[in-house]
Amino acid sequence: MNRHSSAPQKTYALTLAALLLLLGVTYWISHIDLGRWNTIVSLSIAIAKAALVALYFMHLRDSSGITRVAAGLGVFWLGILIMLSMTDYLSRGWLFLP
Amino acid sequence: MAQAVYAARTDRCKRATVFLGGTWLLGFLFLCLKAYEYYDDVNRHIVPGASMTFKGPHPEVASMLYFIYYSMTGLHALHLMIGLGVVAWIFVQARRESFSSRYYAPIEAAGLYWHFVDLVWIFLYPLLYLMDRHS
Repeated sequence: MNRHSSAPQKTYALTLAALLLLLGVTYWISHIDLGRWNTIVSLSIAIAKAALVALYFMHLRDSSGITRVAAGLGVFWLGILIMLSMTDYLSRGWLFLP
Repeated sequence: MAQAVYAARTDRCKRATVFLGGTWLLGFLFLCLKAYEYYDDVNRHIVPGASMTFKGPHPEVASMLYFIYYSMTGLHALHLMIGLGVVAWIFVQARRESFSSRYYAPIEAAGLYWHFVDLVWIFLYPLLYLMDRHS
C-alpha cells in the first residue's frame, strides 16, 4: 500500500490518456463492420479499460496478494452469474416441447 | 478521484478538495446528459409502457430492449447519485482538513466506490451505445 514514493501523478495522467485513447478506438471501430467481431473487439477493449482502472486508479497494482485474490474472486463470481444466465439463453432452442 | 485520494494521503487536503470538486462536477455533468437523454426518450415515446409508440417491425423486442436499457442505465445513474452524495460528504471533510497520511480510509473507500461505478459504465457504454452502429 505504501509504495507511493515515485510520483503517481504521471501514472494517473498516462492511465487517463490510455483510457481516452481506448475510448476513441472503441468508438471508431464501432463504425466499421466486422460482423460478430464488433462485439468481441468492443468488449475486449472494455476489459482492457476496466483492467487499467482497477490496476491503477483502484491501486490493485500496489495491493497485497490477498486483496488481488478478493478482487479476482469478484470477477469469478460475476462470471458464474453470467454463465448461469447463459445456460438458459443458449440452450433455449434445444428442446422442442409441444 | 484517484488524484484526490493521492493528495489526501500525502497531507495535501486543499489539493484534494480541488480534485474532488472536479470529480463531482464531471459526475453531475454526466447525470445532466443522462437526464436530457431520458427526457428526449420520453418525448419520442420509446419508453416501455402504455405510452410507447414504436413504429418498427418488432415492437415487443424493442420494448424488451428499452426495458433492459432503462434497468441498466437507471441502476447506474442511481449509483452515480449515491456517488455524488459520497463525494460531496468527502469534499466537506477534506475542506476541514480531516484527512492525512495517517487517516485516509474514508476517501480511499469513496475512491474505490467511484471507480467501481465507472467500471460498470465502461462495460455499459459499448454494450448499449456502440452495438450495431455500422449497420
